[in-house]
Amino acid sequence: MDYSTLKQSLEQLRKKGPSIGWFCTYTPEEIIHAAGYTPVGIRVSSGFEDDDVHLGRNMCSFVHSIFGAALNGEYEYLDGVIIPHCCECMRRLYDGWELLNDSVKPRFAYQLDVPDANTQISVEYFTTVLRRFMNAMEDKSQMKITDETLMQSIDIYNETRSLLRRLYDLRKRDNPPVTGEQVLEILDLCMTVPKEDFNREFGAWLAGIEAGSEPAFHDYRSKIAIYGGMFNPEIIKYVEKDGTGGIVVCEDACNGIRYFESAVDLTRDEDPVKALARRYLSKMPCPRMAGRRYGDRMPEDLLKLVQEFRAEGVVYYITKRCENLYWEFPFIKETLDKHNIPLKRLEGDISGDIRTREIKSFIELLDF
Amino acid sequence: MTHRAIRSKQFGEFLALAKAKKDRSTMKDATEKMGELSNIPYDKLTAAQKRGRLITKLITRAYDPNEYVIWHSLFMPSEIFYGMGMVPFSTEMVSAGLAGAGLSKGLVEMGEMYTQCMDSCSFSTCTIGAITSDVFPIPDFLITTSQLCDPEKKLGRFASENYKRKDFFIDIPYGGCLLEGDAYDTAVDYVAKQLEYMVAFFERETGMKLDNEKLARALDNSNKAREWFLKIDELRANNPALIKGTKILDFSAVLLDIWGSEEAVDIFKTLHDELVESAAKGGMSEQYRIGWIHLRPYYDNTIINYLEEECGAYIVKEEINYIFWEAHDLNDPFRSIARKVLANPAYSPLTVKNKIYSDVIKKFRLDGMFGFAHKGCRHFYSSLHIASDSFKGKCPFIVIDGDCVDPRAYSFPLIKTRVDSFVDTMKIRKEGM
Repeated sequence: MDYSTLKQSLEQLRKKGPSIGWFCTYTPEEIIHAAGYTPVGIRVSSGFEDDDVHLGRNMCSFVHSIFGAALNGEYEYLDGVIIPHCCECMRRLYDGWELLNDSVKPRFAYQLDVPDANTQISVEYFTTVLRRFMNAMEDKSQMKITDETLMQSIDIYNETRSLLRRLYDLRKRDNPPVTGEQVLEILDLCMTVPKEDFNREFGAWLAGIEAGSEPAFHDYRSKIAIYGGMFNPEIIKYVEKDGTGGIVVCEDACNGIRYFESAVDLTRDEDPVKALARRYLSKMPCPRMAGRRYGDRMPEDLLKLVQEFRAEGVVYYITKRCENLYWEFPFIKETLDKHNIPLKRLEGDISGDIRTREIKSFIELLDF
Repeated sequence: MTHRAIRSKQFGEFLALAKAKKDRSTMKDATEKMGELSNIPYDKLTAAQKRGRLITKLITRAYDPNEYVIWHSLFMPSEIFYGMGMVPFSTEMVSAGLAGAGLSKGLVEMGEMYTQCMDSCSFSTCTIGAITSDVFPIPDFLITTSQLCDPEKKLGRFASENYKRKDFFIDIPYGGCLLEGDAYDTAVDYVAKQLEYMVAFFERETGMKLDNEKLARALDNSNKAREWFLKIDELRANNPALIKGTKILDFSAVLLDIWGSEEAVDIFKTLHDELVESAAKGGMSEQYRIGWIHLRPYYDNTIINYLEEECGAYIVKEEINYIFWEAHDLNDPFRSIARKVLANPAYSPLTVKNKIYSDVIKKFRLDGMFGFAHKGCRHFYSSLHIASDSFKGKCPFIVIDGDCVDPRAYSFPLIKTRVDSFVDTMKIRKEGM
């Protein structure tokens, strides 16, 4: 199966059956799945950013995009949405959803409080939060979530994670057989189609690629890593365009490796809910996380990725208005500078124009 | 300890900076103010002066090499620090003071060189500027909580790395005041346990022991101060405006590090007595009663002076003087402090705050709500705009975008037009067309 056939078949599997939307990788999809819904990740711009005039000008474009779309009925096909309390902007998205509930679709929104720390007691506490979330999902779906059904969902999601890790392993090759643009599309499809279908179709395609395939590009390409929250896909497109001369090999981002890195470990915790709590709090962190366990982890995690994927430079993409990304930058810069890893800081929205000239000159400098 | 020895030098830098920028200050020069206040006998001071003296004392102690100084993020209850005999130092509140002293512009610019961002919260950016300019006292430890905003978490981390001092992070559940039954009890236990760990951390690091009697005294002081403040609220609700807006806003009851101190009890009692006296004289000649949401620009008093003196629109209730917590249970200190933390309406969905706004509008017979939206604050800026939508047709509600600390883009003439329309709206509603 070639890539375009895979893409086509996965696209046909979108928007089928009862589904619940989610916006942040701290949402435990397994619980939504166990309640009988298809979790649908809203990860791309809706194009309705300008329609949100309610939340105030200093929200990030991701939140404006979601709320603008909700006001325009773009998510009407969903049965509800989960809005984690993961940052200040998401906090206010939920408030907008609640206070303008007559104007948004779908009307059901659940705010999930996610701790900012990963400690033994925060895992215990998050377990109780997730139990309440499970009850809410059960009430909505009228379907009982048992340990058994939850563990089945966890198995399915762990399989997805394992497949995506194998995909990323391909990007560690000297000449990767997949482009960054393809990987981004695959991740988007993975987040929006039922996981059972995705695992089947994607697994078959992946096995074929692993068995033997041509490099995605035959000319030399500078390997680039991206750090960000929800970054603008145009960056990858531009980096990999003929004439720019780069290839994106990994993304430490919410629409990248943070989505699937680390599995739910059912051997450590017998209680599947606690296993979920542990996995979501200990996964590769978004800069929202805090505390001593994270103090050094975000720059170190990125450094590890850069070394593992042999990236020659890093593009740090700040979604405008994201305080976490603004304030994490100096820490990342300090670490990368220490290791002489070139870094380019860009700021922008989740869609629209990017500073192409800056990207081009950054890649040109890497080639010297 | 070597880090403490540097504090005296930092105090010198701080005073020199304050003196150099004296002309920009909306307050008197910090040094003069300190000297002036210390010469007046304590019982002759007004409530605002007593508050000023206490803040000055806390800041001066923070530079003392013999003190344990704890930097902490906003809303961290200070009672425990008083119980431990430590000096709390809220960097962002001190940044507000720096703005009042005319120092914030330069420090914000310094901070922006670090964050490389002109769009972030200027309280935090100003703090970064103060750290890199070496005018803040080096802390012994840093306590950061997830309540309330994102930059604070990074700020604690930066300061900890910069000064090589240990930090301790406390995670606070969001929307705690909406939780009920077991969910609430679990949240209280979760926060209380972290507070106990924090105390254990202090004890381990310092060799000091928490003095339970001292903590109980601090909680008792806090309860007494709270009682006086509730009486102040009753007086203000049932009388014409009794005090100027700029004065009462600066009490910032929910933000200041005075809860737990003996002085706080006296400060609020004195304030109460002053308001009783003001009520006996008939209060201010108010035409409109307004509620003030969020903070004020600290570098300039024009907006409030204009509202009150020119328009007769007096501030009679402020969000930052809203006592949201129950009295402490002295027999259950950690859970009690945890309940205070969780009760914070600012760290809850906006429906909670909107309900409080409605109650306050009714209780204080407000003609309008005035929100000063600090543009760098994702949390309050957005919530103010959403809240103003919710009150359309119910109560005149104006939101002025601005910055509490950074004076660079401030222009009163631009704001004045909107303030005038707000006053006109109140007039029409009150008096008819």
